[in-house]
Amino acid sequence: MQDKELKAPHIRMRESARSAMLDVVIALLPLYFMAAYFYGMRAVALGAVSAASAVAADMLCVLVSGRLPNLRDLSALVTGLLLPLMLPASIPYYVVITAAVFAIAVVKHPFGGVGQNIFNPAAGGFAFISVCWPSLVFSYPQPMFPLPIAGELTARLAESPAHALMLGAVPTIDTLDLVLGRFAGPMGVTNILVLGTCFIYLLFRKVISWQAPVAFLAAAAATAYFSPRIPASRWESVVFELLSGTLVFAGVFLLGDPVTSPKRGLSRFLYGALAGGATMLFRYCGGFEQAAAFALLLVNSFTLLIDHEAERLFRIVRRGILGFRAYRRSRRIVKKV
Amino acid sequence: MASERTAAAGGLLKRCKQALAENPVLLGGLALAPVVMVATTVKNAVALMIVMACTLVPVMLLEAVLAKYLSMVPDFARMALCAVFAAAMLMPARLAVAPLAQNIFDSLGMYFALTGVSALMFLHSPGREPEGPRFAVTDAVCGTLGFALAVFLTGAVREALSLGTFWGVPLGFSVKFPAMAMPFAGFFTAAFWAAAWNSLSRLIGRMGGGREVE
Amino acid sequence: MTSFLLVAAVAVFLENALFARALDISVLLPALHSRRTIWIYGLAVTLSSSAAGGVAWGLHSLLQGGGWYASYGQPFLFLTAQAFLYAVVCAGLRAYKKELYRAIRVPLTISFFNCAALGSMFLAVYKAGSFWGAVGTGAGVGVGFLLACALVRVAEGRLAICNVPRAFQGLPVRLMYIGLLALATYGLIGHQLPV
Repeated sequence: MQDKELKAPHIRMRESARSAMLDVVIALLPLYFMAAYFYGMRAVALGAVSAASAVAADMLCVLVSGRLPNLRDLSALVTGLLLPLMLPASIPYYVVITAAVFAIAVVKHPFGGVGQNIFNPAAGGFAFISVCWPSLVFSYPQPMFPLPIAGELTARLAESPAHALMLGAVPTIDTLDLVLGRFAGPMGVTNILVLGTCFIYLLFRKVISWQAPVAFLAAAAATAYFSPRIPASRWESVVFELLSGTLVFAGVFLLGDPVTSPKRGLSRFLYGALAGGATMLFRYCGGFEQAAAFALLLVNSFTLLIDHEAERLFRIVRRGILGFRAYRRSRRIVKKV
Repeated sequence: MASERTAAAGGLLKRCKQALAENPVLLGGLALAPVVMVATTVKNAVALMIVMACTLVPVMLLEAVLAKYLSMVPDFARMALCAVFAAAMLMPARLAVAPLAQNIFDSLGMYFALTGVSALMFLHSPGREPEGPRFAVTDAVCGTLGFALAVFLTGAVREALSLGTFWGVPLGFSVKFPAMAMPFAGFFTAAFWAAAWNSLSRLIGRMGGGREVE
Repeated sequence: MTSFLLVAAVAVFLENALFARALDISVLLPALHSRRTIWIYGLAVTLSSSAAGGVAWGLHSLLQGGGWYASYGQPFLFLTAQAFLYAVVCAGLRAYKKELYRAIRVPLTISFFNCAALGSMFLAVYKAGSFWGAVGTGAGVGVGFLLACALVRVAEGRLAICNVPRAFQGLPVRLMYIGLLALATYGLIGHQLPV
């Protein structure tokens, strides 16, 4: 009799953590391409430096904890690639290195490393450098003016439309420019069409689920519609709030992190809605124009609670529906009698 | 008689070692508020050390005296008396801290007084039994040293990273991290030092052949 | 009443005593033992902070203006007032509810003599504009502590299934968790300077 190796019958797909991370890296590549188109090869250099710092920090942390690094783990690479896309292309290299090292050494590894972190590392890294160097993080060069890879930068820096919204003013940008990303802003978050394509790709590859991002954007849009903070029409408020800042990027890439987001469909809805509401609250009342990362850190702490309570809510609703059906059946029987 | 004295000295030494290995701040979580919030420079750290020394040692001595000689006084009255005494000790502490810097009390804020209250937390540290004055002074000195270590390490790291200085002397760092002066950075710094102390005390425990400190 | 609710709401959410001012950490650790202890400590801290806030407001209204008061007198008087309140509460409980006193003696002591209770006195005096605002500040500190405990307790369940490195197990990982929540709330409130 010959022994034959067979794959476990319940494993239907070839997906793994590595393939999921690879899909995210592939989804980020068009954003880097657009950033390079707008700002030159400096955008790519920032991504490379950030990724290298994140991977190096990850390996060092794993070695310090007495284990061997897993070269097939791409989670640190993903974190490293996500961070520069939320930053201006003019950001100094030491800032992205700080963000990457903070994300890995403070937000990820003390909680157990890959697959165990409670908070999104990229959001944590971005939040830390926003507090350290707000003038560097929230000043953006104009697109279509390539920046040098190294050396002193002489480009004029401007504020993003999100800053105008924070001050209660209406941004003076054409809607088409807003959609195509032709305005001063974080280098990877402005082109909404490319972000939409990335979202569809990640959905198609089943790396993220649609519930959390849709609920997130819906909650943000509803807040902007019913409580606009700028003197414009409600729909204009919705358009400006959604398309300026890191909202859409956070919804696609940060919210859908499989480690820090809930596991059930209903939980993801609640989580997305909570994150959207929290982001708008932070935008309206907080001191930072890009508030999604801070709000996401707060909402990450509720993930387990949302999973538990959504399960309970689901059971209550289901019992309620079944109970109502049983009551209606009994009423019909009584009427017949 | 001599053997009794040797045994007592050995007991005190063992108690000291244990108290220092089980740092009350980094492992026990006592008196963390001033460490996290205002231990942002070495000067602030030294000020906090002085306040803790001026309040903890007299308070623990008083508590031991009250427990031993005034056993008719109820527990809560002893505690209230210790609190009033700690409050009174804040006045000489203020005089001792004032020469450090002109605006030291502005940077310490209400945490100057809160450090005095934190001394009272040491009275209730887990595993602590009120014993004679000699053990009380030992506990107080070890507690002060433990607090001093925690606050100094935190203050030194935060000043170096946020301002690039040590006691106001520039260290020549080209990159500074202003966020290290914020409260959340105090939590992170204290956590990393606590983790380091955890590992160190486990290592010392293993080397000494004693029990591992959890 | 409006000033009480408004000030309390700000103290609970925006200026949470744990995440913004690290006031309640030493009480947090014994409180996290179980759901019951969270409620006991939470209520005790709320009552002690509210009472302390009111007393501090009264003392400050009577004595403010003197040079000695701001530098030497205030910490001494506040802590003495706190000790007096504690003695009165304990004496009353001991006289009329001996079993309850025995059961909550340690939480009561820790709740009265910690940074949250004394801190709420300073906050009440410098942040609140009226007596009820001062009491509201204290109440907000206590309720904020209760909420913070609940949040950290939820994390305990999550941390129990994580492969936390041995060096970080226990207090260090809890401090990291609280620190990251403090970073998150910083995005809303900015930097709270000590009073």
